[in-house]
Amino acid sequence: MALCGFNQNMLDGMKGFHKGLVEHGIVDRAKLKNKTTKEIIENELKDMDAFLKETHNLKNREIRELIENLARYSKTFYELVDKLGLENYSKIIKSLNKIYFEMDRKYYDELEGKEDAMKKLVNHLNKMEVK
Amino acid sequence: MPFCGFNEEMLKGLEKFHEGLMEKILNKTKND
Repeated sequence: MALCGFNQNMLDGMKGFHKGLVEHGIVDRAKLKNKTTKEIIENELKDMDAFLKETHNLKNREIRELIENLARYSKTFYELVDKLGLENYSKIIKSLNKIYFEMDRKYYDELEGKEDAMKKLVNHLNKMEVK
Repeated sequence: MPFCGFNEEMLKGLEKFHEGLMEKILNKTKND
């Protein structure tokens, strides 16, 4: 860890995934269903909760854990977008990538191999925020 | 669907993320 160094592919990938969650998952669906984006987010959060109550029945451990973590990640991302405002989603995506990049930069450039490296990393991350 | 329907951009994004994770592992293996 931290995340084996976020490279450009990983950061680009996360950006595409986040953009899809907002533009396709919320904005397009709001137009399609003639609902507000707020209603769509609330509905998706409910669906995700319901889904996560069932995922323990997935038999394959790796598939179960990947899907559960992806669902939890996506749910938290929607909660963040809901809290900070859908109109700010581009800034939110950039801000998240900045945190992920900084997490690895701090670890690999300054902390790797040092005592309490992970504790120091977490302290450093606690100073950052999504805005 | 629990993910609001994956669109192409989301799938490509995840694919790139996974590829990036593997590139890092492979590069580290080469450097070790």
